[in-house]
Amino acid sequence: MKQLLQGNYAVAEAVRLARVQLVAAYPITPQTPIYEKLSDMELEGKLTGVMMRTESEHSAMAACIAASLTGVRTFTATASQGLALMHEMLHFASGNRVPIVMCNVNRVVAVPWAFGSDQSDSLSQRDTGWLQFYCEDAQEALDTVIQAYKIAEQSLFPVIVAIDGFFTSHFMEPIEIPDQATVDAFLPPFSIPTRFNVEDPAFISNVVSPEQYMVYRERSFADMEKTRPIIREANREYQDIVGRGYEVVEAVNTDGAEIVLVTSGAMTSTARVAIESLRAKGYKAGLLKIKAFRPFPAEEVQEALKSVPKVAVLDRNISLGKEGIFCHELKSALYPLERRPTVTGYIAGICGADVSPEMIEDMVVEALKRDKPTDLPVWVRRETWLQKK
Amino acid sequence: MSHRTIRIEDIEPIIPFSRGTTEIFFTGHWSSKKPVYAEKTSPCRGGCPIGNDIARAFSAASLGNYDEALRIYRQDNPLPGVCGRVCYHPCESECNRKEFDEAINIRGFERYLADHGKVDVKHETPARTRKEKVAVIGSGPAGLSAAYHLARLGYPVTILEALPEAGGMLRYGIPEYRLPKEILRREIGYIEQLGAQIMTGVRVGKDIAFAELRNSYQAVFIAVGAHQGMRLGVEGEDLPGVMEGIQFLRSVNLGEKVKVGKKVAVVGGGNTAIDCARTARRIGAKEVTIIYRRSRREMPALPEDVAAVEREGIKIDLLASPKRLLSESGRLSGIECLRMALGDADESGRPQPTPVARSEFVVPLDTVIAAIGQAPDVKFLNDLGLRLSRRGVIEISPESTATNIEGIFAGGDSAGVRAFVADAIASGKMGALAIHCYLERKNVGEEFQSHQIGDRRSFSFQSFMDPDGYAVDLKRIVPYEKINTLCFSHGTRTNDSDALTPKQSIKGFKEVAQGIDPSQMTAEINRCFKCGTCTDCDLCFLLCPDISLVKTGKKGYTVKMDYCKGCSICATSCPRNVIEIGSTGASK
Amino acid sequence: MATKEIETEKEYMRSGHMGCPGCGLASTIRLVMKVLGKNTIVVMIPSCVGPISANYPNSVFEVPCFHSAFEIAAPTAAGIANALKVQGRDDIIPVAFAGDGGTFDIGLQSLSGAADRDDNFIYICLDNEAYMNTGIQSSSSTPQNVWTMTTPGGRQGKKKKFMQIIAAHRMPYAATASFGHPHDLMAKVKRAKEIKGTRFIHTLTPCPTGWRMSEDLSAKSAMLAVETKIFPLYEIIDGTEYRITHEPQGLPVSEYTKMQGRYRHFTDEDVARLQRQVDEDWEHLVAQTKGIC
Repeated sequence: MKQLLQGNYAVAEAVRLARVQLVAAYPITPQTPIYEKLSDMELEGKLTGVMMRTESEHSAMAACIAASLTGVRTFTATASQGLALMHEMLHFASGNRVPIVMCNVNRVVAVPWAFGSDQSDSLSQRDTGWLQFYCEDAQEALDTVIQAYKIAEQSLFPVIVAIDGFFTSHFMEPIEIPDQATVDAFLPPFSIPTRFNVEDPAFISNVVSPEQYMVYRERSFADMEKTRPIIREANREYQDIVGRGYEVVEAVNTDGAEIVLVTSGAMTSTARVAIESLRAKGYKAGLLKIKAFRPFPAEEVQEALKSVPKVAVLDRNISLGKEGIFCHELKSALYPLERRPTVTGYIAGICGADVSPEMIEDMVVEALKRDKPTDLPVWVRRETWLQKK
Repeated sequence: MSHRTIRIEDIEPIIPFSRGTTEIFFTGHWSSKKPVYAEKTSPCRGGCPIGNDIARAFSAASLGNYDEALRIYRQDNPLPGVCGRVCYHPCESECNRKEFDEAINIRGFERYLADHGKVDVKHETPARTRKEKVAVIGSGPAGLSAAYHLARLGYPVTILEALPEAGGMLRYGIPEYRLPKEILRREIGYIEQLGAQIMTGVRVGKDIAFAELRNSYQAVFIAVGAHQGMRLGVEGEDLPGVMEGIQFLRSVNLGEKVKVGKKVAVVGGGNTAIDCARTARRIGAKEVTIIYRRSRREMPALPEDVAAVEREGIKIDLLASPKRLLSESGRLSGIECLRMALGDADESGRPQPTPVARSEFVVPLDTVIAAIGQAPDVKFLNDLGLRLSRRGVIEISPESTATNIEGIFAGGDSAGVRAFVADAIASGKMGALAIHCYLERKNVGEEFQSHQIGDRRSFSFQSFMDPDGYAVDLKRIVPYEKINTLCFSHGTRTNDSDALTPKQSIKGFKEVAQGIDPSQMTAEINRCFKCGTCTDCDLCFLLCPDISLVKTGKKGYTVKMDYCKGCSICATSCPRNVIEIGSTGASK
Repeated sequence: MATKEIETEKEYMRSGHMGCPGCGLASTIRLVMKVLGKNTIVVMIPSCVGPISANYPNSVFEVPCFHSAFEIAAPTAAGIANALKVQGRDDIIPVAFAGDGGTFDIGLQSLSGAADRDDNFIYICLDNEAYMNTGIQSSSSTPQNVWTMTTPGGRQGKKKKFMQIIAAHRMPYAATASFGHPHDLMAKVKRAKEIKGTRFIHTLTPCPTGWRMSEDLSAKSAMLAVETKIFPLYEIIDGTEYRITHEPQGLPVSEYTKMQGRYRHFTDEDVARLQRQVDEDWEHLVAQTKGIC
């Protein structure tokens, strides 16, 4: 039976079902409902773990790292400035190889001050060594959080589960909440031994030489590569037990497509409508949803686009001095292909600005006309789009 | 799906997991400087004529071991119960603590030990008995001390005492209220238990010939004291009612019925004068006046004894000197005195008193006690064939206490030693060493120097007995600057308290002073710096940043040379200057 | 405070560390560890504890230790404490060692948060009055007018009265301590060990290198700081109940300043000002012990 829930609450339900032992958090819009819901759950005795109400996101992450090292399952949630404040600790978490799961509710980073959805906050944490999954809707968020624990604890890497602020976080959606037994069947209790064993003491994470540092980095790089099968396996198992699943990329009608639109996060749902409409109009248009940003699913992307002549990438983020970040990552993933498609990047929906199916249709049609790739993205705002019309 | 169980072995390679020890780094190579534990000598010990190991005794007591503290005292001094009561405590004058607040009540501590500690004579008894026999003439502090130390060295010793009981001046010169006979008997008893034989009522030259002594004993120590009172040398001295101080005290101490008048004057400023005045007060005098020719500062008596005199209502007339004794119908009626003025220092170092012209005044009285000094029985000494000095005392070599006759040694008052108990004990101790060296054909000067305390006239008997086992640098006396006073808190000295009020005390001869209140003893022991003595306080051990000092299990600490960086915190911080910095020469 | 019973032979810190000769901080850690014992998890952060605790693959401690980040000594210890609570291992005590920079400056916020939650750990501030590990830069614990590499003309700011900040958090137990008074220090650690909640001990840890003095003087300078009342030894229970644990001798502050090169430029006037400040602070502290303030 489904329940009507906002995405933030769906995430909180996932945290409960994952039997998280320690939650450390600090409030920030639009993450606060997660924090509040977990507090309710704690009061109701539904959350078995400890809640640490820290004085900052930085300390929340510090506490999660420390607790995880001590051998308990941890969770935190944040957004925007909060994630930026955590930045140092994100490196610290992955360097310590602790399986923390964090939900980041995507929000623009000031300045200017604003609160709408934008992936730049989490995408700018690209090189901190965390796995990053971008969810299309609340159901996927719930399922991904539960899966993330399995992945994190098998790979010893922390995981960010990103959802779009206000769209996914606050929209009410009918959600299928698995029962506890089902989740327990998928996710065993936390079993990573403590790093602080008083019977067998060691000094953890002390200073290393340059040579040793590089050894650890190389090892981490190799281990990150090994997360690919772990992610795949976790999803397959989840699908078997729970009945739902999400690949690192989802290709819709890409076979024989003359153009494929690449999306991530909540905008994918809008894009699905646009692509349906274009196909009804006779365009051979396909859709590629990218869920995993780290590790980047390069092989999967290549496989989906190797025979496609044209690609349009829709980014709700921007890297100044370059382009949309997904577009940029996608282009580099396509580089080994013998016949590379012509890729056009579109920047839209920044700060949660409106992106309608019609706007997306026009982007795809425009991209189809292009014969040469461009480094510079095309900015699409409702106002300019209307003027063009 | 295959669920991989993560084990600690899986984690160890992926993040720095350090299980090694820093002990592989021999930081001791950083410096050649290393601490050296070197126990030194406390200034109080330097000040003590006997050379009592005071700081070490305080250290033992601070750990609650009073018996051990007493044992330490008895290494040098057989009469701590006596000294703890009547000593002039020169130790306290040199106490480092006086620079910080007040000197420690060292004498009170010694008394406390003697009164409360247990003596284990059996343990002190030497393993073997030597064949050479030694005779000691006189059982005063010098004779007792000589006999005690000789007995400890294994010599069969015989003390010959002319009076009915042993103790000399301690028995017959010091009144009961200052030194109870019981205390003296107990300490003499220990000397006897140690093997010294005491024969009382035996006068050499009368009951036994000196020549016979010389035949039966391989060495003789003469310490017959100075029992002849000096005369005032003024007109009227032979009047009835004029007494001589030391004779007066002896008579009272012998239990004879001695009568004094209502008004008594005692002439003199030493302890004999003080004792005469207090004794006179106790046997019936209503008004007692001490007449002394210099000022209070020059009085040889101890300030605390002078104060006790005044508490008991005795007057002190200073800067007064008797000119003649007055009589009425053949009976003593008064003393005419001259006022004195102080001039330049005389040979004793004290200002010379000179009479003020026409300053005569009369003190009416019916008894005069002259207590202006004592001298040995010159005739007796001459009869023995001893060479005497111009002062009428036995001439001895200051280094060896040897007299002009081979095998005959002398000490105490009869040899002109300073007339204090501690000095007499010291001279007896020196005599024992000299006799031992004489019998062993050793150089006494060299022996003395090896165990000499600083550059003083005292030496450590313990060091002499056990030179290898007694690791104390006797030559280095710890100055105040070397004490880390930051380790101590200011406190008030605990003085001896009186058991009796002055009113009660003059009613009889019960001991007046009761020493340090036992409830205050710990505080006084803790006040003591214990200069130069390792008390196992652990400060060095606890301060060491390199964990390079290890407790040895018994006493003291050893240095882990492999790790000590030579920072010298331990030496600089040592409260009592035990640690210093040496060099291993092993620096890279 | 008699602590003879805790002075066991057992050490939980090893020799062979890279602390400078005469390091007061090393001694302090060692004394703390002696009392805390085996069931302890050490949290350290960038500070002089770094070189002392050793590089990979060695450790100076015989207990687990974690090298955390600069500003998070408290939340790291708090995270461990809460995890231990979940695991039912309240018998293990996390102890955070942080310098004055990591406490007065960059770690103040996170310490405040942890203290407010009363998370169950002991925090030891090792105050050497500047960023010594990075080479003597001024912190908000550096006394006024004192020389450091970043205050070559003397520091403008006044040293924070940090214990007042701590008291404001109403922690169950807070104390000042000095390795120059090791028995007092160990007794305080022992007392802290027996209490639950966030416990804070502010230790003054002289640094011969940074204080510009001979290395043998570190313990003596620690003692002098106490005896001049510059660093009085006291406890605060529940943020309100003050108790002085050692009556200082009340030596003039010049005894302390003259031994250290960082005060070399002090004029008589500077010393007099410091003396006035110290006297005022002491009076205030005494008033606090009487509940007047």
